[in-house]
Amino acid sequence: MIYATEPMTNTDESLIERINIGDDSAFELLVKKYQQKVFQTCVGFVHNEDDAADLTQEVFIRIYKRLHSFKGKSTFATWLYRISMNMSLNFLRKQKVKYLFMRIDQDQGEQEIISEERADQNILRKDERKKIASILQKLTTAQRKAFVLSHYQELSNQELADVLEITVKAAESLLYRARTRLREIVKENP
Amino acid sequence: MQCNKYIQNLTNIHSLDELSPEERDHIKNCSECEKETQAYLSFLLLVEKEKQTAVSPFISTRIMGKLQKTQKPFIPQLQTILLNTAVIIFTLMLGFISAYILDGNKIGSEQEEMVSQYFSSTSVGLNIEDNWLNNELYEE
Repeated sequence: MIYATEPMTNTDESLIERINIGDDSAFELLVKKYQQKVFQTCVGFVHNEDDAADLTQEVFIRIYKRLHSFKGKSTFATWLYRISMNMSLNFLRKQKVKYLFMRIDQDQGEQEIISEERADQNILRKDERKKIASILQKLTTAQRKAFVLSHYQELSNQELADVLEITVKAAESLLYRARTRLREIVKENP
Repeated sequence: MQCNKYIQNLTNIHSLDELSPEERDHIKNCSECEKETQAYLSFLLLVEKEKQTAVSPFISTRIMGKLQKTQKPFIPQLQTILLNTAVIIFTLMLGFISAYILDGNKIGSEQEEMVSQYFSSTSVGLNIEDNWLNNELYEE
């Protein structure tokens, strides 16, 4: 279970109740409370600020539309992280397909793609992100989920287990394997 | 300390500060482990740096704006459709009523016969067609 310290009036449950009776200002409070967390999760998977911001928007819109289906079996934060994680992974799958088409058209469209890059992009930052992405890509999906949730969200093993719907022991083991694999990868590609 | 044990422990640390004195001594004497530690921790540092990226403070405004856009159109669209339908029905009714007022009272006996034939006859239109076919003008 994921607990957050918050005033009694703005607990997730009370905000959700208010949203369900049509109070949109409660949803805005919920967005403000979790926007950074959702954004961090998305960044951890997509490694691009603009894409992560777009994804954050989509996550909250989906949350709003599906809030009636949230039964409270897990905490709201657990549910939110699970949706953020799944939407980020779906986004990556779509990106892969897009990238394939881009490669096919690369001969004709290379000039166009380069010119579309933002002029003010920080090259060093971009390289660092590329490096993180290329290393994390070598993990299995489950290992990547565990690593991102643990390192970008600082979730405890219990919280990780709740989000991934596995036992705490399995979560611990998954995280350990992810870190071991990462250590090996960075050793091979320093 | 053996390299295997050191490397196993390395998996659970996030910074050099977390190393025990024994482990520190080990990397001082083992260049291979020192190299591996540096590579792993500098990767974790990159992750930490990326994690610090802050979301735009306007994102909540953007989300609320997008929500209003996706929510509201349904009602205005429904209103527009209903309004357009009402206008069309009203125009048609106005047309029928005005036609009835202007023309309806002037229905002659021949027209009445045609109408009654059309609606009550079992052979709709046949009498009318016979009349037309046997018309003198037609025979010419």
